[in-house]
Amino acid sequence: MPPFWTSRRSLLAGAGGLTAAASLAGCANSRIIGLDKARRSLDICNQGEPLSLDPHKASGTWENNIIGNMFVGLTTEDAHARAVPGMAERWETSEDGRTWTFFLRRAQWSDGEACDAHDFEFAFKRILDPANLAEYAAILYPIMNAQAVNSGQMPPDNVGVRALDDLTLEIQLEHPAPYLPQLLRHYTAYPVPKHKVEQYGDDWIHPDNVVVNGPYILVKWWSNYIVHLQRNPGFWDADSLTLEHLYFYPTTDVQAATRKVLSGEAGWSTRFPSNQVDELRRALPGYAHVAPFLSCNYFSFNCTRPPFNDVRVRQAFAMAYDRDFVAQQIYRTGEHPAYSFVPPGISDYPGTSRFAWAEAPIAERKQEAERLLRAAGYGPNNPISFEFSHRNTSDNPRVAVVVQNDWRSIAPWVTVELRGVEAQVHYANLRAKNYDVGDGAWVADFNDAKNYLFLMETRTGWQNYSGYSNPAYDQLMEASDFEADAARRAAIMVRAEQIMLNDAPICPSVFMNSTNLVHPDLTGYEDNAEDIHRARWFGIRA
Amino acid sequence: MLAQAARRFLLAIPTLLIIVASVFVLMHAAPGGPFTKERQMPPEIERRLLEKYHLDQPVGQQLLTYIGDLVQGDLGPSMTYKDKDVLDIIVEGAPTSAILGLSAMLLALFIGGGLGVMAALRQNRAQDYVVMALAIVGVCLPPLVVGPLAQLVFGVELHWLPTGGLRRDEFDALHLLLPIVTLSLPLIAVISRLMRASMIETLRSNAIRTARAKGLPEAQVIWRHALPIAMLPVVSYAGPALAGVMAGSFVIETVFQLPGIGKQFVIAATQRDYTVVMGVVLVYSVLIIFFNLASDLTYRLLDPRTRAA
Amino acid sequence: MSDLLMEEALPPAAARGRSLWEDAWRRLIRNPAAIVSLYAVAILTLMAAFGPMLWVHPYDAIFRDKVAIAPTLQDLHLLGTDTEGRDLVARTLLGLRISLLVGIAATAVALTIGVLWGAVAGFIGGWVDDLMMRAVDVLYSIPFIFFVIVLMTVVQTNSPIANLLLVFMAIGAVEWLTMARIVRGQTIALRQKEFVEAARAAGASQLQIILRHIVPNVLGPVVVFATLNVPVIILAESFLSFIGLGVQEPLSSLGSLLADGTEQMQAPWMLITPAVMMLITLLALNFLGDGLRDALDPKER
Repeated sequence: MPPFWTSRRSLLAGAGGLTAAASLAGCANSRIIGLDKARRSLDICNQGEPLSLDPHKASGTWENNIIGNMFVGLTTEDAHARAVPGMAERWETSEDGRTWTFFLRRAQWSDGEACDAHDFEFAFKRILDPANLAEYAAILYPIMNAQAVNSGQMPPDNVGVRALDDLTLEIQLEHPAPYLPQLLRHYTAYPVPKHKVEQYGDDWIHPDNVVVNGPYILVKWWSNYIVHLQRNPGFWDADSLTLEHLYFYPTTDVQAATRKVLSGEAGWSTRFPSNQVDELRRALPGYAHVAPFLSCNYFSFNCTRPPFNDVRVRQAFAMAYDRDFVAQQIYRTGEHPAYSFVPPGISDYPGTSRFAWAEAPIAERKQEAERLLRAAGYGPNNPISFEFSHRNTSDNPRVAVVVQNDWRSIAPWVTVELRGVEAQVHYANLRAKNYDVGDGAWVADFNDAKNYLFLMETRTGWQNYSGYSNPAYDQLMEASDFEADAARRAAIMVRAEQIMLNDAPICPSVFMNSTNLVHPDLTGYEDNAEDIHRARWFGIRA
Repeated sequence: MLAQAARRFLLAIPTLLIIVASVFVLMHAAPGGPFTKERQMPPEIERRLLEKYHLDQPVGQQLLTYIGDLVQGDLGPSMTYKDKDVLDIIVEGAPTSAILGLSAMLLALFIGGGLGVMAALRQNRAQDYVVMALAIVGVCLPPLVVGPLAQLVFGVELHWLPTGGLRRDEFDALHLLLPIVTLSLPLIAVISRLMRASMIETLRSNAIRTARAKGLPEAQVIWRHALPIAMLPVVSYAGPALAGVMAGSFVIETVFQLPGIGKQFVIAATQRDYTVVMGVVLVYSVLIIFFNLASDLTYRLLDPRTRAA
Repeated sequence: MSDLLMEEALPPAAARGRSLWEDAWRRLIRNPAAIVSLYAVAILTLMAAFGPMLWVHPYDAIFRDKVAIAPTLQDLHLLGTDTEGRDLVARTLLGLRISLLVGIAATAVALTIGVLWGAVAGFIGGWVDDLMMRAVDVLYSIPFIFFVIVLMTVVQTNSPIANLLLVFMAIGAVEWLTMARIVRGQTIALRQKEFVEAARAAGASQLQIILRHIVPNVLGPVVVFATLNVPVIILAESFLSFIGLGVQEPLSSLGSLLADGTEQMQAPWMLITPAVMMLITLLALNFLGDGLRDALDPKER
């Protein structure tokens, strides 16, 4: 970066800031209307500030909320977040399920250039090229050679994606992946404009340079305050769009977000505090939306050292935790207690695995837990004592309080200390296996059971926080990769999940719900398990 | 006086260097880094990221690299915000914090100063007690309670004022009113107490007794003679305090959703965005040094003893 | 970054031996606000010290069928329960105890360092003084929050409350700057006085003079500063609780209760209790500090 006095962009930004400051005085029309029917604009409280709007560098759901309105992948989401054709009008799969051919629609970038198969090929190679430092590329590893390219062992040209002609794209896979259409609507699989990226490099996403192939185009991005999107008239389906402007605010304070909706200054908040749900239903009839969400809160036991290298100890603490109380009283929006790891609502997965003791009442489970601990050699003369590490954000400390209470109540010789730390410190500790029990949460990147179960595989590396390693489990998971039939594949994964639950490397806590506050006059908003709501489908009730 | 100012400016450079070095080392001592997240990234990518931001080097060497870039006016790229440089972030955030801080301080000087003078003139009478009780309540109510309550009352219940601090992408006096008032409450409280104490002391001084003995009108004695002297402690308080509020308030900026550098700093600190943290610390230190100097110079201008010399 | 530290103009304490304290005491008990505050502080301290032991409910017991209930006489949940079903009287008493403890711990450390630093700088003067005061300037610019983050992770003992106290003692170790400035100013005024000259003539070492003659004579402003500094630390802790770095569950502080309370608009009792408690504590300490300042001010005679 050059010194700032020679950087034109910085100086312009500074001048802009000062101009905005100077316009402080002149302001007659006062309040913002969150869902402005005349202007057709929507103000949205998003969870956080996007770290990047470049689909190859993004990594969070709140970034997805914005980027997903700017770009359309081969497949895309309908109002119910089901995978439907996007840039690809149709596709064909080879016999072995490893070669997919996509036939693209004619479409253009917002500057009039054609958006075609070459942009897709360019995009897949760009995100997998390790020089581009994409943090989320690993999700595309089912593509042929993707992992080898991404770890620098092969040049990017070897990625198994090829534009056969302008409108035909061929993707070759490492192994059959029936969930590919689910995967390809993820932002890592969005096309990027080859001509712009080659011209501007990483600055292509700057509002002055960006072009999009989706319904909305980036107009302004003021750090930590607002992202303004406007309707893209060049979008193939632009005529069906109702909303003209979208304003996303990074409202990290969920209470403030709620008040913004209460005062009418925002038409949609992507979350609200679950224990205020009754109050909000009363104050804002028709606003509160609660839906099951593909997300599991769980605790990892550190299986690599005592006391949790003993399966009896892990089972004892997993069963003595009263997740029903947490699901009903700590969260108040009808969350479900988790007696397994893969959330209900995952597609093509029966989800029949459960802890063997799932039906037993909590009092009985606590007795059984004491028996197991005694069997493992603990007792009044050999007390057990460990730390429960948790993140000190949102509801996590509140859950930790219940965990401590439950586990201490097994027997007087069980001591649990809470250790609440910042998320960054927490994950550093988990990664270094410098913890006893630690909380965590997993939100699906794509709607498939594998997206959960891979976490416990030995080959996953440090992200397998519990350090669980069972050859039987690994074998089943590997076998599921090479099973093309969806039902048989699901059956294999159910067996794997049951093996894992029997070993209890983790203690699943609660399957979360998504909570949204949505103006009742906003149509086209449908509750769905992935909590993805594209403005493309939104309308306004007169 | 100019020589004094010049000397202080020269001293500012080593002071800044020491601040940069100590914050840099302290920051790197905190566990976790900008890339420790819940989700794993491929080892090759992580290696390249660390290399790109020099995080694979010893801290001492990183510090030297950083200072080298700094001397050339380069604050570096943000480590978490992939599309932005530190300078972009500060340039986008600083005006809001500055406007907010400056307005809050001006408001506090007028209201707090006025209340303080009033309390002093009515010492030990009802007005005095009321003002002082209010001032103490002002110190005792943290903005994290006042802010949300103000939003609920004026924004949600009464619908008089907006709950957010800006009007989409413009500044707007009406939108800024609640944050400014919330931020200024503790300032008003401190300034009114300082003003009262110092006014009482000034009114007893020989200079004021002489002025009164000369038969000057009371209003003139107070506004022309006593006030400049009584302002002195307020001035030496307001300098550093102004630097503090202009560098942003995390609570106010979070509650009222304002794009200031105070919020940016805390977020960057928890995400270990080292370069952004350093950038904001630099802004803060420069403000502190500048306003300390400014308040010392104002002190000299106001103080009759040094004015005469 | 704008945690306001009160830097009040403190009166110079004259070196007048014992009678100063007697006079001051007599003036103090004539000030009704100060006396009420003195009683309030005493009662609060007793509540903090013994309340958590005497109250019927422990602070960390969860009443699973009584989550977030309003104040009631049933089962003596006089102030209701919080969102995890814990009794709020117990939690408020514990919060008071922890808030006062951290305030006192941090202030004690700040006082010790600040008084010595200021006295040495002021007494020796010259380039030593210059250097020591530049160091104070540097520390003023270092963001407080990083100290806290680093300390929170570096300080690891087995007891959470010991952890918290250590962290706040460390915070005290960076909060002494104002104290040092005040004491330095006083010392410069004192070092010309006859009794210091006399001590020097009698052959006392510099350290002896500082400890025996300077420090006792600056105690007046120091006492005032201490009473006014405890509220500042309590507020700083509430800010830390707001961003999640303050006291950790299952412990509570007035600040953490307050931060939790602002999030529960449907349950106002969770906000009102800690807010009122905080207000009373801080009001009492502030009035007491003001009263002490007036009482110790020699010009008031």
